[in-house]
Parts: sequence; C-alpha cells; structure tokens
Amino acid sequence: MNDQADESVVRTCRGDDKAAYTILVRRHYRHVFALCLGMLANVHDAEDVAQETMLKGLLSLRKLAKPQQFESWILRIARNLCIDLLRRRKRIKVLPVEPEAVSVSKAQDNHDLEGAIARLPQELRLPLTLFYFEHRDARSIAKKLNISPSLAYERIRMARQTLHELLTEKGYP
Amino acid sequence: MSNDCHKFRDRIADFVTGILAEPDSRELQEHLSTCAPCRDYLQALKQEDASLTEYFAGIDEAMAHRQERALQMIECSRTKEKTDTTSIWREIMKSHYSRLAAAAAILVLAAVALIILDKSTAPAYAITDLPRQFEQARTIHVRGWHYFPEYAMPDGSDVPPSAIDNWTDVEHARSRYTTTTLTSGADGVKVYVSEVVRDGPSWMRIDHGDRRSVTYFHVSEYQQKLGVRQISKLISGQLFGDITQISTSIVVGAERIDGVACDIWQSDDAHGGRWRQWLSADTGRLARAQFLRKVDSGQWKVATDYSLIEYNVEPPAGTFSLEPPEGYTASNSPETAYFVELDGGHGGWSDENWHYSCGPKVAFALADGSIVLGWQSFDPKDAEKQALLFEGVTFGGPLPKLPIEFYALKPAEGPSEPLYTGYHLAFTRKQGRFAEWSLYVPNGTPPADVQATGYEMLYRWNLEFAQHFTFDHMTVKPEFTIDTTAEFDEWVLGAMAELSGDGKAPADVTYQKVIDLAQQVRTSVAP
Repeated sequence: MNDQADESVVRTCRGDDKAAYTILVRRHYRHVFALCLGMLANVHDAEDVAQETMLKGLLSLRKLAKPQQFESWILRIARNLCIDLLRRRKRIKVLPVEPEAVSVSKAQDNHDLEGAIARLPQELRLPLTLFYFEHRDARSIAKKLNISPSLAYERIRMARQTLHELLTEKGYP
Repeated sequence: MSNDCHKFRDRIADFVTGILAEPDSRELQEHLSTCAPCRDYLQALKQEDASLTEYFAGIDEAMAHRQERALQMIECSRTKEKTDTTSIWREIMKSHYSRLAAAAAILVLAAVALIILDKSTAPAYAITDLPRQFEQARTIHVRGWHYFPEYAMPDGSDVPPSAIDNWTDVEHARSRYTTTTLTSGADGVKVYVSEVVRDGPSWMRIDHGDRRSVTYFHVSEYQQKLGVRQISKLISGQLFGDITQISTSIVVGAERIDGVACDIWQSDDAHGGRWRQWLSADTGRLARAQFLRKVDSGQWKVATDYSLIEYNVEPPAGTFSLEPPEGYTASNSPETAYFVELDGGHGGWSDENWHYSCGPKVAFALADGSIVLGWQSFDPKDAEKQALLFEGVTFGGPLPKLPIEFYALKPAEGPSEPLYTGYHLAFTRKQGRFAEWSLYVPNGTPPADVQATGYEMLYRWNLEFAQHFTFDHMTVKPEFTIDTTAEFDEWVLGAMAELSGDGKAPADVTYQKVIDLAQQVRTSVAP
C-alpha cells in the first residue's frame, strides 16, 4: 500500500514538482533516523546522516529504478552513508595512537544505559533500536533489515542479554 | 546457575520481548516459582526494558523538529544557486584574455610560494629526528587540552575543554595518562575523564566525575616489557603521528613560545586530520603540538592542544601512586585486579550470532620484510572441534582451515601490492582458545612506509555450512622489526608463550628456521 503511494509521489517528484518530495521526507524520515541511530549510536550523528540521506535521495531520485521501492532504496542510502561515517570515525579514533585518545563511542560508565547501547555490536544494536522505534513489530524490523522475522527476534534476544551483561560488568581500562 | 537456568535465560529474554509461546511461557513460570536467580534476571531485564522504552521515547520526542530541520536543509540546498568552483573556472576560461590573465596569475603565485618556501625550509635541524627526542628522555611531561569541536552543549555553547596532564617515567616504566571520553545522546553531551596509572604490571584506573572510584588491572610481565619498549612510539603517535607523517610536514609559520623562536610545521594525513608542531628554530626541540580536525563547516578546529611538553623533569611525589585518591572508593583490590589480555589493542570481530570471532593478537616484522602474526579465529561454543582443525598442519605448510582464515596480507594503504602469502609456523592454546602463528612472505618489494600504515588482513571462510559475515577492513601494524635471534626469542617466542596454557612457546620454532622458510618461499615464487 505504502509502496504504491510512494511510487506515485516519486513519479511526481521526477516531473517538475520537487516540493512533493516533502511528502516522502515526512513519510520516511523517522525510519531513516532510527536506522542511522541504530548504526551510529549517536543522536547528533544520526540526525546529520539522516538529513544527508534525504538530500541525497532527492538529488539521485532519477537513479531509482523501481519507484515503488523507495523505502528500501532510501534505507540503503542511509546505511551506506553510515558505513562511510563509521569508517571515518574509526580512523579518527585510531590516529592519536593510544590510551589518551578521545574516544567518542566507547562508554566508560558501564552503568550508563546510553553508553552500554553504544557498546553493543552494531548487528545487535540496530535491531534493538528499531524494535523500540517500530512499535515492537518484528516483521517491520525484518523488512527494513532484509532478514527473516525469526532472525530479527533472535538478534533482539541477544541484544537484551548482551546489554544486561554490559550493564552489569566491571569495565576495562 | 543450573543447566536448566541456561535454557530459561533465552526464554526470559523472549518473554520480556513479548514473543514467548504459551507452552514455553507456562514452563518458564513453573521454573521461576522455584528459582530465585532467574526471577532476579527477569526483574533486571524488565527494568532494562522499561529504561530502554523511556530512553528511545525521549529521542523520539524531538523527531518532528528533526524532520523539519531536514526539510529546511533540503529546501535551502534546492534553492541555492550553483556557484561551485568548476563553473566559475569554466566561466573564466571562456575568454581568451582571461585565460592569459589566469595563467599569469598562477605563475606569480607559484613564484611567491617558492620564495616563501625557500626562506622557511632551511632549519638547523631535521624534523625527522623528532622521535629521537623521546627515545633519549628520562621523563616526559605533556600538558594540554582536549576540545570537542564537533559537539555543542544543549544551549549551543561549546563543550568545555578537558585537561590533559600526562607523565611518563621511562626509566622506571611508570606512567600516568588522562583519558577523555565523550558521549552524546538525548540528554546532551557528557564528558568523562579518567586517568590510568601504570606502575610495572599493575594498573589503576581512576574514574573522576560522579563516580569517584578506582579499578585495578594487571598485565603480564611480557605485556609490561612490550609497553616499555613502545613508550616513545606511543608518545610520538600522540604528538605527531608517525615518521611517515612528519616527513611530509612543511613550515607554515613562526611563533615564540616562552621566549624561544619556533618554526611551526604542519602536515595533513589521509584521514582528515591535521598535525602541527612548534619546534625550536635553533635546536629542533618540540615545544608544542596540536591535532586538528575538519568540522562540518569545512573549518579546521583544534581537537587536541599539547601546550606544554617538557623532558627530564622530576614528577611530583605521588604521581604514580596506586593508592585511591582521597574520597575515592576502590571497586576491587590489587589482589583481585582484572587481567588484561594480550591483543595488541587491535580488538576483533564476531558474527552477529557470536558463533565465530576472529582478530589479530600481535605482529612483528622481520628484517627481510616478512611478517609474523599471531591471530585467532574460533568457535567459542565448540573449542574441541576446533582442535581437529590443527591436526596435520606442519611448520612451513598451508594455514589451518579455521572458520575465518587470514590467508594473506597486503599493504593497508597505497598500492595493494605486494601480496604477503601466509604459511603456518605453530599454534598455541590457552584456556580453550587457540592462537595461530603464521609467517606472511611478500611476493615483491614492500613499499617503504608499509610498517607505519599497516597491513590489511585478507580473509576467507572455510565452513560452507556456517552463516558467513563480512567485516570492514581489518588491519594490523607490527610492533617493531626483529632482526636478531635474541630479539626473536624475547618478543616472538615470548608472545607465543604468553598465549600458551603452559607458558611455553612451541619448541620447534626458531629465528633461523623462520628466516630460512621466508627465503625458501621467495626463491620458489621468484620469476
């Protein structure tokens, strides 16, 4: 249903009515942001990348082969931009070699929920984040991540268990 | 915890998620009625679920504002006129006269640049001698500030800088380092400051701020020795990257620091960082160093400023004390200190289900350019099955078919040649975990700076039935170059012993045998 609705808006945008893109932003921004947050574990970065994604979507709309697949296409753009940022971030982190380097994502306070979420492996953090943004609907999460609903649940289970371990562990120097 | 409890822990997580099937749920309730630890676990997960719901709802609250900001940004960029440099350039070059004028302007600029460079690049010292200053120092004291140019407080003001005050006592293998961590989330930016005091094998982390606690750690004698050996490399890394980085520096200005005339050197690295050093114009002594990052607006901002650098100054009494500071509580004791595993700071990777994990442990370069690398790749759920994979592997033969096999290395940056093919040397085992020790021999001449930039580890999957996963570039940097038998015994065999249950390196690995193997491989693959 939504896919068909997207299709007609995409076609309108491809004409001269660029303002119609607002509809697509309003419809998909939240999902894009949630995906970025799950990947980047940082609200500010997620907002920046979500913005960049929506802009890039507009600029390359002509390249979208199947307009009805706008959602998966825009999420793929978001995912790729997140990967780019993670690569850059990793390099920034590695540069000033050791213990004194400023690390942006590593949480030292293990009793801090946000820090513990940031320390989850991305494969677990992403479905967990979507779980709370997608009203606990595994099918919706699975579709967005292109995995089966059972795998989505399995990852959420592991995310919960790992998060519990992180929140109760002692930490490292 | 009984075996039964293990089974129920998964169900408890599913129960909290809301997907537990009815029969499973009944069985779980029965178990919970008799098992207090599982009831506590359920309670904890429920509490965490409530906290997560609240946390994400907090982020969700501002979604409408975020969306509007995105729309405004899109609107701005849509209406903005395209006046990029290419179009301006194209405009200029349309006319014959402006083409001539542009060419003349370029020539003048080039001449001016040459004059400036010529005047300022003849110092009385070599910048590449910089690392030696640290190698010769008895103590090193660095003070300065961390800045957070990419972040702002909720009211839009700058995040307050965080102080750095680091001491290294090279002679006695002691150090005290400030660590700064910034987290940014729904409730704004938080900066955590802690310090790590190292005195030989004992470490103490001091957490400042609200926590005011200390935690003890300890490392093996081997890691302690390795840390001492790498001290000057570590400090150099913070102050000016590595030797390849400083060799690309140019003088960009001059400034007096504490009455001493200094040249300002600058270089940009390949990862969006800019390094600056202030060196005494007479002696080349480092007086100040900065690390800058480019922020979204395109401006370079100082991320770290080491405003004071001094050598051979006596540290204040108590600098390396392992006693908790007054008002701080200890979360463990030196006797119950946590052991820090050898992994060379490389970390590792695991698949989404954590069935498999892999990563480098430690690497050394040999004088002939080949690399000895200790790495792991294992299935933590089935260590015994893994033992079979090491059966029949021989010194100098192919690598064992571990789940993820690091079959070769290549330079991490620049040209991707040569390829370093892996050969098995030995394996070690400690507490059910295997480490594979391999020799990687290049099939050509390695680039000069390859050791500084590191090696990418190429991998392949060997288990057809396993769920494969992909990971980002995994790179490894050798600790240093080994060129004598004594060094090989101390560092390579030392690392093998470190990762052996019995504390001994495999008996059949010697420096001579490894060098001979590398030579034999090179001869056999030579064109």
